[in-house]
Amino acid sequence: MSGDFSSFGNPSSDPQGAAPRGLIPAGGPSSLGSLTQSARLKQLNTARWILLAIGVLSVVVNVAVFFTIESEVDTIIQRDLNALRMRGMAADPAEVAKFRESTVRVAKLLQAGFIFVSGLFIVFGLTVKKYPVPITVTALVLYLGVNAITGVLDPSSVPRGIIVKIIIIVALVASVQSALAYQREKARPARQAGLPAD
Amino acid sequence: MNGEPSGERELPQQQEIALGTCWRCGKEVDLGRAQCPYCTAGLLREARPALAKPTARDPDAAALTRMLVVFGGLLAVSLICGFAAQGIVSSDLGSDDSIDREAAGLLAVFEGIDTVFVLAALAWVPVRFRHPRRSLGQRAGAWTGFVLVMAGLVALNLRYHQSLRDLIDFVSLEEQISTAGDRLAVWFLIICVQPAIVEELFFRYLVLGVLRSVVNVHAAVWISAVMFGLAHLGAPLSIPILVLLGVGLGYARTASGGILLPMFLHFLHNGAIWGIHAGWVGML
Repeated sequence: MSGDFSSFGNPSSDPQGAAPRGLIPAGGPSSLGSLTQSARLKQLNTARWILLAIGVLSVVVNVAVFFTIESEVDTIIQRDLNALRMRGMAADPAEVAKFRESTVRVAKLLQAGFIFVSGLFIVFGLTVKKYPVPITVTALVLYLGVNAITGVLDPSSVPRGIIVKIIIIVALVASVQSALAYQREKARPARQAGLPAD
Repeated sequence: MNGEPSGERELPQQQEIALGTCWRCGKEVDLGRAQCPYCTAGLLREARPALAKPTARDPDAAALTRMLVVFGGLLAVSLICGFAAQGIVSSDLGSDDSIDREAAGLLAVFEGIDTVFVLAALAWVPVRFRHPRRSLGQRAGAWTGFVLVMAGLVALNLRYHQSLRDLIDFVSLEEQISTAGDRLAVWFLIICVQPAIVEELFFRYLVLGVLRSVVNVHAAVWISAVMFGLAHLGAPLSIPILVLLGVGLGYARTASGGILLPMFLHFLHNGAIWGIHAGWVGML
């Protein structure tokens, strides 16, 4: 029979007794657990890079949008004024100026909020290994929430990049699960991996 | 490779790689490899059971996943409500009274949907964490202390929105709605009663309970508060103050050990804000 388990300190000579079969590591059951932990750590590394990527890209895009807000608002107002003119109506210039100022301020305030949240994702990416569960859960919650807020403000943004958004959400959910398992294993004292006793 | 190990063959005590035995040829191999270098048997395939996430059998992970699914569903409902509200505002309904009537109807419907969602969540998501029982003195202290904290949060809320008003001509929902007799009861249910009961059941009972099983009390309170703030999609500029409100309500839940205190405080808070905007309570 191939697989000499006794050479690795397993007193049982029954090859069926070991689970999983053929995988008794030289360090004993604890290194089997380390193998699992290292797999989870890889998942957390993936989460780290996803969070950093989301954060950096979002910061860049949101800062760029922040500086184009005024021109965007002017374009929208001009389009609405043209529509009014087509119907033979005109708007009070003083009211238009007041509306423009208020709209630009609201847009800048919201954009500043998005930039702040984007910065948070960078912080999450840098600290996810230290506090895996709270960080991954908060990141997922924030990602869902910010996308929902963006959807309310601009409904046309909902289908935009939907595939990428779904992939990110699935990856973040997987990160939460790995973080939970990693945290549990880290907190647990060394144990036997189910090998039969002497 | 047969028989007892030779005494000279010392396996390393600390291993950067996981050594093991190939399941087919029995030779010593590095388990991190995909294939046995001797007989090309697949090694990682066999390793997969060991690497399988135990979360399928982890009840806390399952509860957390379900809770997040429900939260996503509530956000989706709020998103649809936001689209419908924009439709009302942009449509040519005529008088402010008509818009008010339509808005009340819309919010009543969507709050009804949220209520059904939350009740279903309470049945579907198991909450295993039990908050420690508080003595009568602790509960009395929590009730007294947090009523004062809520007074401070109401003042902070008013100051925050006043600043928004000064900056950007902000108008809140409470300032826009009518207190006309026939709709007063509807708005009372929408603004004061439903949020106090349903939102507290979801965020401070279910969410906080599920999170407490996996993180400490402070992380659980703050994460549930962020979820609470983000759930108010219709008022994105109010989210920061709503998160602070959520923190206060979360700590009230843990300090009192029960759900009644945060329900009462939420009711007080919403009632006070509405009452002040409606002119029933003296403005600060």
